[in-house]
Amino acid sequence: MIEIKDLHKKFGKNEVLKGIDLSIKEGGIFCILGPNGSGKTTLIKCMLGMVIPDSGKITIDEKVIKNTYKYRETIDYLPQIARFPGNLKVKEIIAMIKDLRSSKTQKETELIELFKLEPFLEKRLDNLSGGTKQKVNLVLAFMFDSPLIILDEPTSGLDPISHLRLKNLIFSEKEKGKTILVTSHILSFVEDIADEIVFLLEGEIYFKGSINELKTKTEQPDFEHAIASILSSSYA
Amino acid sequence: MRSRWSYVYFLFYLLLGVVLLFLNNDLSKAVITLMNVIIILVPLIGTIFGIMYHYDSREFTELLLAQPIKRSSIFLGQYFGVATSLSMSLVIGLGLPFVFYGLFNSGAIWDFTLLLITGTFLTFIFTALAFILACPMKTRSKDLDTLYCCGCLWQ
Repeated sequence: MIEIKDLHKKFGKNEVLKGIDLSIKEGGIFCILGPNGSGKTTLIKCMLGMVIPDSGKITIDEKVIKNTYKYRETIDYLPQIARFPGNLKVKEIIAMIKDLRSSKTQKETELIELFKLEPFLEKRLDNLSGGTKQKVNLVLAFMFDSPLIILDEPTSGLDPISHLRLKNLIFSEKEKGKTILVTSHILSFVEDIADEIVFLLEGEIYFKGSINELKTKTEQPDFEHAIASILSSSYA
Repeated sequence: MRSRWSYVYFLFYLLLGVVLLFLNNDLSKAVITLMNVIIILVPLIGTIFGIMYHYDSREFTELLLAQPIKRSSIFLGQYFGVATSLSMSLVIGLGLPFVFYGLFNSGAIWDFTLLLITGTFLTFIFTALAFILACPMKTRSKDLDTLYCCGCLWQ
């Protein structure tokens, strides 16, 4: 589904991506992990066309994405920070994004019900708490039923019940055959949902595979210790 | 059109227009005074509003950039939204007191129209400048420093 070949990106003197080669098959949950500054968000933004790579090629569904925008009709994206125009109401932002996509979907109704957002529909976005804004963010991300879903820190600000509902939602989307890319620092969440993980370290792919394969490679008994051993050896 | 600051800007011009007409009792003199005011104020407000809007909407712009629409459509939409809102505040804020004072029965109508056209053009130009300055800069403080230098040069 996604093919990335020899991707390079530099911001000034800081080389964030150093020749990333990555292939993500259709269907499944892939978690992109790495320490701060490893290039996770830059990689995602290159896939979405927000960041133009210095060199390399990205293809989604066998189409090169450079200088195009129509391919984003098949992608749903959840940004890391849920910040919206404060003077809009919740129902207005939902209608606005639907209008931008020229979509007639009604899926937002079940998502609003899932995340218990009905009492907030008439409220202005600047009057909402961070967690509620994140729920609105999730509704906007999931309501278009696209085959590729990219979630950047989806659990940020969520209460435990919403966290659980989000996990169930991700699993149900996976069962529909969708490809879900997630970046997260919450290892327990990653361990629960990931089919495969991609571990980025200093702009390169250090590891790609299942969590069990990572534990075997690092000779650690659990996921948390496996990640800790990678990070401690890279900072040693 | 829901921005509180657009309404503050509108009320400011409304008050300014009323006070000048009350003090001068002469449309032409009021227009000349306003021309001197807007030549300083409009570029300042246009750039400040432009930069503030750009920074406040940065994360929302990321969400928009992930949608299947052209980048140029997003940025032009934001630019015209801010510039049009500021221009409308200027035109309506100044226009109302002058119209009620009897602008259409006086000889100053062309001068006043020229004032509004100049103000609108300045708004659009300096809002564009603000957006162009804000794009490559990562921090608001760097942008405001650049703005301050531009303001000094303009003076």
